[in-house]
Amino acid sequence: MDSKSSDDQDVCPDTPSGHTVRYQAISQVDIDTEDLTFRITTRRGIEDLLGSIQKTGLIQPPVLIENPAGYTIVCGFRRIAACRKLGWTRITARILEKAVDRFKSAQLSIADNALQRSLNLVETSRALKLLDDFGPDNQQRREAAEALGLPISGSLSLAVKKICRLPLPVQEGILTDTINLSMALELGGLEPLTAEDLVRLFDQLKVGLNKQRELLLLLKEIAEREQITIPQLIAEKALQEVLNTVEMDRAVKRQKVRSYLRQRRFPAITKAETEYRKWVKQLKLGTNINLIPPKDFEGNTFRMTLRFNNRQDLSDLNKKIEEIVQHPALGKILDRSS
Amino acid sequence: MRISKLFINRQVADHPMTRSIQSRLKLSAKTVQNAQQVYEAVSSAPDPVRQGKETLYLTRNRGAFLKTCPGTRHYTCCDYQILHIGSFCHMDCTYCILQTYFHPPILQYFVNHEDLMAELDRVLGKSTNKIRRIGTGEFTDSLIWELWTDVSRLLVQRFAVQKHAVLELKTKTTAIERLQNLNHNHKAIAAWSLNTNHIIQTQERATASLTARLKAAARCETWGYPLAFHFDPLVLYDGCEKDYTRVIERLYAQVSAENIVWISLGTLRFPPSIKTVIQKRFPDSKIIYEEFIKGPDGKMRYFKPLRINLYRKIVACIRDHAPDAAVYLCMEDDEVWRKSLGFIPADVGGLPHMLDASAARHCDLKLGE
Repeated sequence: MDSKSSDDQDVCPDTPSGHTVRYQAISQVDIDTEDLTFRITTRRGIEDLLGSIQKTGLIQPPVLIENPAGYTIVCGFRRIAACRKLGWTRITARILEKAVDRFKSAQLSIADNALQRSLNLVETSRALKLLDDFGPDNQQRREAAEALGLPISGSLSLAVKKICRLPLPVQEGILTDTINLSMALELGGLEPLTAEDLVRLFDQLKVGLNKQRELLLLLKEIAEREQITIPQLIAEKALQEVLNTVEMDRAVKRQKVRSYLRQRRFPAITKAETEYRKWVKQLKLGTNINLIPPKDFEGNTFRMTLRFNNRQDLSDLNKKIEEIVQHPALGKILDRSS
Repeated sequence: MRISKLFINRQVADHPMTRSIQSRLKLSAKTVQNAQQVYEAVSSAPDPVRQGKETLYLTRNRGAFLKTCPGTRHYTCCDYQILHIGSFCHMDCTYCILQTYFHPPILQYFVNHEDLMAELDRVLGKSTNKIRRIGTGEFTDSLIWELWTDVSRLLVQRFAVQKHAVLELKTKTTAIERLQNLNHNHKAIAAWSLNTNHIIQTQERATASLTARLKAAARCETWGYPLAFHFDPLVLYDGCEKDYTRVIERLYAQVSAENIVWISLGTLRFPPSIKTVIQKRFPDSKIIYEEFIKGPDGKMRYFKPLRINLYRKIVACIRDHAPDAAVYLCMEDDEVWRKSLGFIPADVGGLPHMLDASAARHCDLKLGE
């Protein structure tokens, strides 16, 4: 490898890790771009870098470490990709000695990212995983995490560490703010394909955490009861028709999907609710009377609320209540529940 | 399940009952200062509930042996009394609420029978106009202890010499052999929890089959014991109505209607915390995915019309065989009673009165003596 010759070398003994690094022009072919061990960033695009590198050159050289076949990237994955795209066959890089251990390399890689910008959850997870993978003991891992501004609290750091082991679509869901950490971890317990379908569903419907949890519970329990998979359920015609209707408002889609799943999970309860609404409609309660059934029709006590502003309003409501008492629909309502 | 670990509280290490149980179990024991040490041993297991079923803790009951059944004001309770001889069970029913009732659940047995009998003497020894219905099968199965203890013999003999209380031994086992030659004087009711073959096979692990339970009941009948049956929990599934009807037909083919003191019906209900236990311990069970609502007592139960529908069919079937059977609903409200049975407890003087009357009739109870 010509890059390992002494040509183009500039040795610098003063590095943060206490090890000697040298600046050296390296052939692109000697850089292993497939080895993502030290990759922290989740940014894949390089367009923002192309212009700047073309105009001003590579101001901050990538950091590489020697491996038996060439070089492993420690910092600068995007910079190297941008240079390659610009057709540069050789770039100047900082080369770490072989003696630099992987824990030090990991810290360098994390610092390169974390000290420039806030890491997102996936990047933080990758950073913590790097320290876990290469840190010799808990004490050193913890000290390094603290120095690099990574979370060190037990439960949070434990939860965040799991993220980079989740299926990629779930990680994507976090990056696009479709799901939060809590939902990501919940989806992480499912089959990857199921998790992928759910992230897609949540993204299509743009639902918040509470609604996501409700939908997930309905889907899981229907699937359990009917002995089908969640992807099979989502792929069914009834749901796909709603999800794929382009002209349908997203709020309407959300409502339709939720109603469909709830009706399928609780057929008797939703039927009773529909019947109740039908009978109440016949009572023509108007806007100033509200009739509230027992919760889940389990108890026997109904509640009625009245809205009035004056004596005349109340008198009118009194007449209306008399009508309600005599109405056959009230008998249907009470007989069903009492 | 087999008992694999025996813990003995230091205070009862030399108790004759402890020695007797240990010699029958043929297990070495670990002596502990308190229950906490047992809890810690059980809690560290991968499946603490299962471990609790294999771990027997012999100790002393420092509280009352007789307890009131924990009812709720929202539903009609039968005013039953629990005789707390021990807790938990080595059988393994999916729906068992004891999995979360004790923290953690362990098979616990109280060896201080002298205190138990003294308390019974105080309660049963005095003349009263109140009938007591007392059972050992609420916090445990009444007959699982037969292999290692003489508790049923002791209790049956004690109840036999009084006239205002009945003892109900409720079980899913067939451990009846030692009841055979006891002088019970009709004051002990042999009772079985019944279910369909499908539920027994899929949800009631390590319990006796339906055939075996009915056969055991028939044998107890020949020994003169009054009988009782509990269809609790009734579980909804496709074809359940037909299956429950078949169970009732088989029941009346095996025992005489006139010897049945009461039959209780109760649909599946459970505290919400059980759901995650079932999902974890019994991932193949689907019973928690029916249409449940949370009742005012905080327990999950089937949507009311579904309960009523099942009760109606079962009640009709029972009445076809035994029009005068004392059938009652466990923890249901007046609406469900009226729609399922055609009356409410108040119409017959209240549920306790209804059951007392049936107990008096079948068990030859005499008040004021």
